[in-house]
Amino acid sequence: MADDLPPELEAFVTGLRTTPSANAALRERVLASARGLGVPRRSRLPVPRSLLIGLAAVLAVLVLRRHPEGRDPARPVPFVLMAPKAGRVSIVGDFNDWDQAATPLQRAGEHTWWVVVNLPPGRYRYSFVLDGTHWVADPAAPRAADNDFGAESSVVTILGKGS
Amino acid sequence: MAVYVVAACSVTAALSAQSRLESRVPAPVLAAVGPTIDSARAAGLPTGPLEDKVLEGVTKQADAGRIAAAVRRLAGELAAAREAFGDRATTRELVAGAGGLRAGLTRGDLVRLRAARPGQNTALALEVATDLITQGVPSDTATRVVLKVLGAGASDADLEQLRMAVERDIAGGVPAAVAASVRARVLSGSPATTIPITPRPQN
Repeated sequence: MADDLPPELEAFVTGLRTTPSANAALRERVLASARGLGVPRRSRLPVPRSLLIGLAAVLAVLVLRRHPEGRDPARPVPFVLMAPKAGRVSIVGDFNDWDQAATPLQRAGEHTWWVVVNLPPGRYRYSFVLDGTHWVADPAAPRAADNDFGAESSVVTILGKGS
Repeated sequence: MAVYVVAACSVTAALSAQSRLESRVPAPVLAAVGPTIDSARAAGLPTGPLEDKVLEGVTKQADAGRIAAAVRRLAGELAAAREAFGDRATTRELVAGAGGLRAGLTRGDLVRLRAARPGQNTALALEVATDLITQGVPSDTATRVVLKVLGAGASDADLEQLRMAVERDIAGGVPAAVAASVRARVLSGSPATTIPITPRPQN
């Protein structure tokens, strides 16, 4: 565009287009004022960047483990047992760390106990516990192949979305 | 970055396993199973199934020695399954393979079942074969029928349907091997035959 200008204006335009260099004295005065106001010269993190990345990775893994939205969602799975003589019934398995207190069944009528457990797709071994001492495999489900502790367990398989 | 993610996964897995077991498992049991779980972790095997086994044993009030033996056995089965499937197998496939070995499948069966679904997850196929065996189907028959339906392009839903149909047939009096063979034939599109029903004894 400068080529289209008359020669007398060309020097003037070139001067306008040139970034003026900072006056060294002015620059020093501004920086001194900024330091006086407590403005840091440069923001520098007190920890190494690699440590921050590592911590971020740990955090990401923890979040993903707790909120696996990317996986198939859990679905309600009913478990039912006929146990007329039981005073209390619970279900224990891979889905609740085999904790007798975690998932008690509710009585429905005189003989029937039931509970609904939300389970993500997968395969789970489980068993019913009657009155805290009597172990009963689910008569409506396949038996688990492994029986290491003398009381049979059952297995339930939950299919995924794409199955 | 990948190194950090892997390291983070290992750290969080170890920490969650520790808290999961330490809150429920008595010290003698922890001491008995710790070396096996640590070795499994170091070997890259999934430790979640081993922890489940520990918790099952504690809930069933087994002693430390029995729990440790069960965990060692499972760790060995997981290692054998990984040997059959390779390093890219998922945790569920390894657990399914371990269950299959326990039920009576051979390493060769695992390899053949895995090869029948190249590039896909074979966990359910292994699980269905295992369930058929626990229902009384001979292991070679179970492998054959699952391979047959996989060869016909069966989906996971088809496999589950096979398992449930065989279960119903057996409950209705059909011999286990016959039920599995006939159902596999139907699912794979081969001509169906009449299922010979063995009448149950009337008492």
